[in-house]
Amino acid sequence: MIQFLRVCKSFPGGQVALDEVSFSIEAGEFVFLTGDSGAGKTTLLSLVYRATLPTSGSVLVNGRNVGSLPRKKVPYLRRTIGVVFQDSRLIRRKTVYENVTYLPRILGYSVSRQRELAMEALDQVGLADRANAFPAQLSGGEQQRVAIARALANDPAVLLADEPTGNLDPNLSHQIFQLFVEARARGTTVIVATHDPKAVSDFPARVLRLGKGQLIADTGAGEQRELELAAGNQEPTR
Amino acid sequence: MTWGQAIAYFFREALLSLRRGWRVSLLAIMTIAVSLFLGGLFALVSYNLQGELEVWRGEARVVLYFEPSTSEDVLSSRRDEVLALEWVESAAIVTLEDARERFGRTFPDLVDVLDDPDAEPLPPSLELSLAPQARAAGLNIDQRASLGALGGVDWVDDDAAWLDRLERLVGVGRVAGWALGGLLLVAAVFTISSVIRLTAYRYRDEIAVMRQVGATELLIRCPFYLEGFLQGLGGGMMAVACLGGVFLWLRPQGPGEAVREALVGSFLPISSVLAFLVVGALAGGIGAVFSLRREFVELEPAVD
Repeated sequence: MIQFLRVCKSFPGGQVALDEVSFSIEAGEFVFLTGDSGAGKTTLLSLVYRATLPTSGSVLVNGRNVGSLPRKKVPYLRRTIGVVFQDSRLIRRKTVYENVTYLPRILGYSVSRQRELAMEALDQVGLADRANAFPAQLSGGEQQRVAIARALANDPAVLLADEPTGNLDPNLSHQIFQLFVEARARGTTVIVATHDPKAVSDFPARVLRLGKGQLIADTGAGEQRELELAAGNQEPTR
Repeated sequence: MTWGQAIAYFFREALLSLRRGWRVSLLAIMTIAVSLFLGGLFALVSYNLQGELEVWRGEARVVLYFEPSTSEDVLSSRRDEVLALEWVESAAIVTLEDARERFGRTFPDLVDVLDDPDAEPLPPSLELSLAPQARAAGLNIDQRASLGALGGVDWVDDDAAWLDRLERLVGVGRVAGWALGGLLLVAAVFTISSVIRLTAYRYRDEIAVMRQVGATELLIRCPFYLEGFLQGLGGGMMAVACLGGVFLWLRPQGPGEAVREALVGSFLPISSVLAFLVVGALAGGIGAVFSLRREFVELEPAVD
């Protein structure tokens, strides 16, 4: 589903965000991406939906090299990937419903189909009754759930979440992670970058740990398989 | 998304944006309108003057003025001589009495001027009508010289000469008008460009989300292009409406208003009106394209 093959990413000025990172994620997997600030988690996620390009190496999504994807094709890739950020990035002047219907609208669905998809996504996050509210009328947790609903609209193949609970209290965080588990149960591949050790321990999932741009551990769900990636061992771990 | 859906979406978004930012949109529309209006004023005047010039050129004559003491016999003899020239179509004698009577008819309030015994402002003359080819080109140097060499001729007055000067003046005025209008239009393009850029900046969060969920650049940019196009079209329509208003205000209200007739006797033809709308719309569209030519809102995540 998603493969990183010896991926390096450095930014102008020489800052290295990712250094020879290789791994493979199967369809329907739930993966936590952990690591300290600056470890390269956000960069790694942004490479998946091609918000940025690798300096070297290949990122494959469904067998297609994302880096060599023509620019015009990028939107079609992104339509299959839902993304949730730490800040919900909701449009303040739009209602919850309008925020969730961006993708169905872009896809040219009929108004009734847009409504169907939006309400289904809002129902999944428990906010169907707040469809007409504006983001400012919602709590932080509710806003994040709307962002997840937006990412889930049209049933994406991959759901990426970048510190989705960074601004939420533990109780709300648990609810949010529960939503990701439910998305995975519906067949979506879920990758969540998080600092939250409790989430990692509460939800059985594979954990990819990054440190200073390198993949330093790949722990399989339930079996506590930890691979120290020695220098030079760059084969995908699965 | 089908093309029909896309176009409906572009219009909906563009109109929504125009409504939300109506103040800046109005500014852009007015900037376009002012530039087209000023250019249009010059166009209107030069269009009417050009029409008058063509009429005058059709009626253009060469007048040979003789010394006041020239007798009618001499005038007749000179008329026969000029009629023998192949480039002269007709020749009419205007005696002192004819000239006085014509003057009195045209300027009844000034007829006293002619009573001054020390001056004779109206010498006898021969009015020549040139053959069509010569009329269009005016007298050349040789033709003028041959007329001036006729016995008793004091002065050769060729209408074509001053018509040429007037036509050049109208041409200069037209070019100056278009240059001024063009300059203002460039300024208007920049204004629209800034307005669209501001609008896009205001909606940068929405653009980022649209890119995020997979909107194509066409889908993101077209509403902005259309917004600029509509602003330009609105400016063009406003300019035409103002020109129409000025025309209705200044146009001749009755006979005998020669100056008004020459300057604003008729309105611009429909092709010119359409050209104004097209130029306005294109200026708006170009301004919008110009403003969005760079990727000004790109998702470039921070390193984490």
